Amino acid sequence: MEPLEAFIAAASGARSVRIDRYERLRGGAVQENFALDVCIDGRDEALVLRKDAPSRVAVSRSRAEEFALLRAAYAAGVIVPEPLWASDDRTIAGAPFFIMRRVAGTAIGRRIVRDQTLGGDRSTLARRLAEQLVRIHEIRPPRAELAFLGEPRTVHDFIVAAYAFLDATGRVEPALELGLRWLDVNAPVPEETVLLHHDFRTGNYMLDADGITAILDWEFAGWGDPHEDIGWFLARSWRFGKNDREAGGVGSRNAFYAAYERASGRRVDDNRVRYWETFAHARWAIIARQQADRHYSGAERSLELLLIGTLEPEVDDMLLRSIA
Amino acid sequence: MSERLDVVELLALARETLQKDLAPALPPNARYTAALVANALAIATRELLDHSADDLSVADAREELPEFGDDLELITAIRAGALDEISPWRTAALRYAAALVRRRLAVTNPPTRGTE
Repeated sequence: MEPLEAFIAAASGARSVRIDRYERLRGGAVQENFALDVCIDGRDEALVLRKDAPSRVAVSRSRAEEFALLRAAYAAGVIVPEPLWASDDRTIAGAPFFIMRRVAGTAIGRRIVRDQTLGGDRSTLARRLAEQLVRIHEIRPPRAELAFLGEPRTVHDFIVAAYAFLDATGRVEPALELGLRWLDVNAPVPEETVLLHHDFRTGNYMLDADGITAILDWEFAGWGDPHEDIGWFLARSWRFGKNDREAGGVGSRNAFYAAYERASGRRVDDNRVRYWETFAHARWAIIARQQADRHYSGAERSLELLLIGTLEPEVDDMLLRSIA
Repeated sequence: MSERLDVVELLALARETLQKDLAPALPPNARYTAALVANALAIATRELLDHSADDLSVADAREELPEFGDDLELITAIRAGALDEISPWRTAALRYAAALVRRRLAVTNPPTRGTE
């Protein structure tokens, strides 16, 4: 048996395992996803193997940690692919990895905002997404299995890290600097601490014709104020041009707030959300730079990463407009 | 001048050929890669266009910030909080930052992108 087949056999307690397909899937600039068709004791299973890309964004979590997050989300009733097994042994798949069930659907943001046949009843899609976010936010500290998440990251922590990155790469960008300073000065005092997905947005959930099939990409999760996730979801970048539908290009801001409030029993503070939308621009600008930097640093030669970097001026523009 | 225009034409035609003749014949995964290449060609083409008006706006806006010898001094002042309060400096800094962003947007983003 191949090492991966042997691993699956040991992890699942199966007698026979045969891999019929192992093929890289599109998407996932930070991780690599592989479609994995496996016959386990005569039963065909459609799985996904997710492993580290050759280089990764500094703040993203390890595969083992992402696996623990996925398990916590799955247990909390969030719609995620069922997490199955994980391993840090590099000899099995070339890098640390975990395996989860494969779910059908599309996550491509531009398609999701345009194709009204996706996601079931579109008039309730924003509501259903808000309900998913509430389930995530119901996961509260302390949680022993999520101890690796550490303390909530403050805005100031983010700014200090952003300065360090900008200085290390020798970038001088007044728009970004004015934005970062504004965010530092105007940061709200956190009220509650919940599990934040930290990348909950159109482009990171999957839809089929009937509804939501998965909330994806847990690699940035951490503790923090729930308004941060709401602001990220509502940020202009994730509307994919459909700016009349502020909630991820699929619904109205008010519908999203109302559904969140109904499902959580907590009030959404519009001022806080708008602060975090401004923060979202700065954070996305930094991430876009970091992605391009993975190419420039020589860590990973990639046209896709370089092109992500070219999105930054647009985000700087949004940032500047929201603080002017 | 005419050599530069030829390069623009060459890139534009390369992109058109990629999109019209090549991409439809490719399997879906490769079509995505072709779209990335087409996007890269479009950005490179726009870099070669005339940006003198935007460059002039940047230079004009920069002249209103004589207190700061270079942009490194400017961002050091921003980080230190010297431009936090509403002031002519802050207004000038915002205007300069916006001019710089507009200059970069002229290359990275097609003109219709922000409004589609």
